[in-house]
Amino acid sequence: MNTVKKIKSESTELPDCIISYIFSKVSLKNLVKTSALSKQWYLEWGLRKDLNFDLHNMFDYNPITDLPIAFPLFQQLQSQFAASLDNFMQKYPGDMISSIRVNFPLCVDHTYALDGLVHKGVLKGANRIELLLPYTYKTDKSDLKIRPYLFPSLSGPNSLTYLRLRNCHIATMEFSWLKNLRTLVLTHVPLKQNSLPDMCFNCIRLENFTLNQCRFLSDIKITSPTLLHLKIYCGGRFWTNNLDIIASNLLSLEYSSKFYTHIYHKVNINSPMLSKLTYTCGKIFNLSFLD
Amino acid sequence: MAEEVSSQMNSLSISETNPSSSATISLVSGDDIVFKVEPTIAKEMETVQSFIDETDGKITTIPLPNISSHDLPYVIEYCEKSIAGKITKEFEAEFVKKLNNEEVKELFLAANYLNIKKLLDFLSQVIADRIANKSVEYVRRYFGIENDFTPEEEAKLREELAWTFTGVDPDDEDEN
Repeated sequence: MNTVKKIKSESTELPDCIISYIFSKVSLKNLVKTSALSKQWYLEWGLRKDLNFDLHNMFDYNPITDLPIAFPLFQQLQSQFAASLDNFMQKYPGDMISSIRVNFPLCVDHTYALDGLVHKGVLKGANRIELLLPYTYKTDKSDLKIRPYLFPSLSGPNSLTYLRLRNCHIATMEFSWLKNLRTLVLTHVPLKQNSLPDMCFNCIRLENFTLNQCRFLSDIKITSPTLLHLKIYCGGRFWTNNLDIIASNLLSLEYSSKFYTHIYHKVNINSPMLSKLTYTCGKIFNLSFLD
Repeated sequence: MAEEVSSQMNSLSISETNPSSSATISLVSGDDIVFKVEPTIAKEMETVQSFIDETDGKITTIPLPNISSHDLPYVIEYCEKSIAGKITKEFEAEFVKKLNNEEVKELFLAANYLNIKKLLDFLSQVIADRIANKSVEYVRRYFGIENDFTPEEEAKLREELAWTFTGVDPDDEDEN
């Protein structure tokens, strides 16, 4: 037994590179805490470049645990989450950020935190931004509609190639800041008159485009020579808008609607390369392919 | 106790051995206990395998001075499961349930010395999960990190990032 003790005392500390590797696996909250260990570890948390803000990462909730359903508790948690997120971004010591992701029911009231996150993320070179803010929230009394955050227009250069927004509004009608995008996924994002054509016109590298339960105030016109994959889910929304797709390199198109009858809109597809079409809908009234 | 483990390991390796197969490998722990394992298990341990390769397989007794007879059976058990393709979440949960935080760290060092990638990756996650929600003082002790902040510096830092220092679990049973 003496020998065992001796072996132990010789090498019971883990090397720094391993400690650093272990820290790369802890939640954001625990990661930030490592800054208080010693001067050597003070800035270590700046090495985390993929920032994923969710319940588990910010509060160490077990991922299975649900959010509270009592409204005051929920509101308190929301504010706490936003304040922590804001504090994180203000103190973040890293020079580079690769991706930011928020998966939590924040709303327009937390614009200060979300704006700070988006601007700092873009400034530090983020390629991916995902803001997954739920559309509704179930409380003990009723389903609460989450008032959407207004996604800001980004001035100055950015490296964004992937943008995924859920329950956000887009603040601007000017889309030149999306010019590096390869993938755009919009869920519950209302699109104003003409904003879709302008968006397509400015997204000169767009390859994957998904529109999920978005509300349109005009006919849907998608014109893009770079687009490869397009998905449109109407969800529970009732559409009467016509759909026009002109995409010379489009390979796949998925279209689905929950409504199985009374689809009033016309669908025109001008995509000679199309090799896969999934059309889930009740009746097809006016589907045409132009070649 | 150690000899008991050793004889258990012998019987285990015999029962799983194809009688006609080539010689087993003897791993000798730092406290001189011999563990006989199948050559396939040695393959999981890069350090052991390169030792065998370097001597063209002539030497089949390998001293592992950095590893105790307490840790080696765990390492062997994990490698056996890994070869059998039987590493499941249930097995892993059961595997670490028996180990306290200090033992996990020792096992990690053993896996690091033997260079067993899968075990290293698994144990890093175990340690990451176990230090979650622990106090800064606990994490310092666990990794042997010396606090070189002045009390003022530390207080300021904790105040600036106050939200991360809340909801800390009490330091637990592993205290010596």
